[in-house]
Amino acid sequence: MTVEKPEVGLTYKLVTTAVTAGINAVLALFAIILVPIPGLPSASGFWIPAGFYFVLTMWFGVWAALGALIATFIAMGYFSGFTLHVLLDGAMGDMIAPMVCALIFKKVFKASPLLEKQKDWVAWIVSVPIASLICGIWVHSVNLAFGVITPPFWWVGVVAYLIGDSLAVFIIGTPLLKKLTSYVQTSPVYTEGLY
Amino acid sequence: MAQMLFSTMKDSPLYKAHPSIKIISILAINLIAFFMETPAAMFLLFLTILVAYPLFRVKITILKRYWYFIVILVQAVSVSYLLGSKIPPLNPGGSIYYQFPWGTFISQMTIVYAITMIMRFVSMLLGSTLFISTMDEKQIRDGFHSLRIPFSLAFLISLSFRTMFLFLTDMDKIRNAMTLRGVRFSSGPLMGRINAYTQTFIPLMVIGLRRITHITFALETKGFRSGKRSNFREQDLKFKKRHYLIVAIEACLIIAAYILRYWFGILSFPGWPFVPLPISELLGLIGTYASPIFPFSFPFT
Repeated sequence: MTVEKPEVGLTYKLVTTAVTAGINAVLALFAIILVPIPGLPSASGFWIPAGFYFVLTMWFGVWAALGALIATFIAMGYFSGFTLHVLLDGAMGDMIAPMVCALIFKKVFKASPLLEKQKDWVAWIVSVPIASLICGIWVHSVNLAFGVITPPFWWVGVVAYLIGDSLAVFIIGTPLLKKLTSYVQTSPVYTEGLY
Repeated sequence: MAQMLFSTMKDSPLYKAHPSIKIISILAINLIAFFMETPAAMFLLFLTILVAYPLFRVKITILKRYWYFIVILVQAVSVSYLLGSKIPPLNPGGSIYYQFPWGTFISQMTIVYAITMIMRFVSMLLGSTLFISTMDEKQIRDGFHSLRIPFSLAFLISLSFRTMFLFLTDMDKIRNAMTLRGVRFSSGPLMGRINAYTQTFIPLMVIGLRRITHITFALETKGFRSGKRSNFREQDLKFKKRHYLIVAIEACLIIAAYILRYWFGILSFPGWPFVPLPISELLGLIGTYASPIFPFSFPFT
């Protein structure tokens, strides 16, 4: 006998955003302190929250991605000021990346976050670097527009971002996805789609 | 809760200002700094914001937290421009200090541009901090709500701060519990430390998922809903004429900065004093557009 989950209200979804923002902000502060990159302001060599918000977006859709935006803005803003550059650069990038990953994973590959079949693993391995690449392009294009970097350093930043972000997602996100998805699926706020 | 992130200057006259105006002012300063590219104008903006600190009784010592970021920023911008730019000297025969094998070079204008970009970021940082330091989380929430953003979305910000400090405490408890079991977080190889932290994430995630349910029940029990709030003190945050005037002035400044940069090139690098201001052209343009309006002979045409 299957039990249908009740439709969750907006309050539940907003609290999901706030809680994911809270978790990711804490992890982002840790990441900046733990593995700073000399030469890159308020950046981290191992962006721990990436693993979390990619996975949280797989489970909760756009509400978790919005939480990632708020979290990164708070964490980066604490170290480098709550400026337009921080909002457009890291915060927007950290919202775009997990949404792109969830889009490719769920809509293109139609894979399951339980990672039970080979197709699911292929979808995960393919969608994460694509999302990180798109996010890296966004972040460093914003840096270029604001004058932080010059064009020759643009592609260096994109490649570094792709490698760093993908590594963090694979190392942290994969065990979270594999171990907790079945538990999270019992939660009323879990979504099969994107919202 | 948010005071732990930034101390609120309640003595400042800006504290009593309308929170929406402060949010709009932060955006205005950032946009104006973004549109400016000339060192003289950027320095003027930087000085103006710096002078505003004692003027509005905001302690400049709150900026000491950012000194590390400013050092790293100077390093990042310097490396990027010194190694990766081709900004030509001001005059065609001007000197190039050093040319790299890969084609980029360092000229006088490279250094000037790098300094201008550093000033841009510092101006954005100073301007944003000036207003943020005079806002608490309640003002941030009310400010966004006054800008017609739904209260539930505005409430997200303050709820995010609250959950952040809840999770800081939880993270600490989980780490302490694991330390008692012999896990080392502050010593050992990097991968070992990453592995140790990764093991804290699963209980943190489980706690987070439970919190979603608890907080939602708590909010709904207190009557929180996404629609219009009945007890929200709208009268306190109504816009008055002076608020509209301030917003209009800021909008004009943003538009002026945009036009001066992209239409007239006055705020484009290098600008005055390296390049003379096109005053006669500007006056000619003003005369062209103003002469149909004014019946008398316009002296600038």
